[in-house]
Amino acid sequence: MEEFILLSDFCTSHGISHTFIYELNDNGLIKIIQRREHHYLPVEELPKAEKMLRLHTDLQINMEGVAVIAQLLDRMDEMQAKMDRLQNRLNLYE
Amino acid sequence: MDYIDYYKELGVSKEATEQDIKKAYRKMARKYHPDVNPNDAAAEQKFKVINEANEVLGDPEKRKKYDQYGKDWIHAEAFEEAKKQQRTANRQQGGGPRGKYSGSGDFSDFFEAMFGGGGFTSGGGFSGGGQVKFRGQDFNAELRLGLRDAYSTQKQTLTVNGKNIRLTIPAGIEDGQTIKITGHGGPGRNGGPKGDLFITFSITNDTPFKRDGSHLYGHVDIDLYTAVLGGDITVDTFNGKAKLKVRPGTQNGTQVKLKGKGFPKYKKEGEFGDLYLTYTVIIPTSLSSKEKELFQQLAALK
Repeated sequence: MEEFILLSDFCTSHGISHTFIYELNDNGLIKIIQRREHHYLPVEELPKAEKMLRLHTDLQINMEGVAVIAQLLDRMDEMQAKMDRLQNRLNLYE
Repeated sequence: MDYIDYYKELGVSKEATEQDIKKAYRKMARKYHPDVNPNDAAAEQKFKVINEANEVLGDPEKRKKYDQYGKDWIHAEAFEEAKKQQRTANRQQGGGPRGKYSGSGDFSDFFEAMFGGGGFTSGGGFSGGGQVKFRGQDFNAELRLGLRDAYSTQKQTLTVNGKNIRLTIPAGIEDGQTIKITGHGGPGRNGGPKGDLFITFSITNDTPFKRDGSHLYGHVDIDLYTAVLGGDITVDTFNGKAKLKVRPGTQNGTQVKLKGKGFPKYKKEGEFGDLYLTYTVIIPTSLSSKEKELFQQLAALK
């Protein structure tokens, strides 16, 4: 499986301009790789990029909003993991 | 198959204007969007319904049909007629989708009966959990495992959507832990990569031990005489037996640690946590007269 996706393939498939992805990159939300004159998206960045794209297009959320939501979702993930650990520990006392 | 009250789902009245519906839909969509409600099946279901509601009520043609036939969908004639009209409407319309949410799933039976399978004007349709535009959809699965199985590395073959996937489950996996199987999700589009398969483990414990990460906790009963005088006992560990020396004067509730007799550490081959055993001293109850006499003598010595 290839590791990098040509940014233009991604954008064409989603029917979007490159601007949004560049902005995600500028805000440190995803990482774009440049090789020669082409831009690429690492495969592991795709789920994140697509999630933020959905938030943007589905819910009309601007870049700042997307950035805040992404950060909060990360925190939610961490908290969920912590809750799972605590729940497992709690079983000791039940 | 039940009638769905789309007005109620969106929280609007039957007299709601197009603007009211749009506003209500956006509000609901923000609340129930799957991307902001990760791992919440109820929210996902609600999101599907409000999408459907918007698809119907946000489209004047469909709304009219729904208002007219909705409650009577069960009468075949009516909805056959509705279907026929719908097909015509679809052809005439040919426009863009009304609420093209990518996280939506398939439609309810009710919707399909009213408007047919191709009811969504978006053409491409929605495919359970994510409209695929490039990268394939992620799949989620749950796997149940006994605590004994989680003790050693397991090789299992799973069948997901008709495909066999060979899976290695490392020893020491936690309850609720998720592992990602890259590339075993849905197919991508336009050359996009496949989605991933996420397997969440649900570990059931039918052993007498309790587990906290790599440590195990258990109870051992010892008789009063061993507790008072000390002695050798044999205890059950998770996968065998161990000999223990009980010290004279051991108190009820004393905890002892058996180093390395706990659970395997996840992805650290050959490393184990510890086993903690708590002693419960059993006080003799039905004493013979001789025993009682001896205890009384002991008590008198104090």
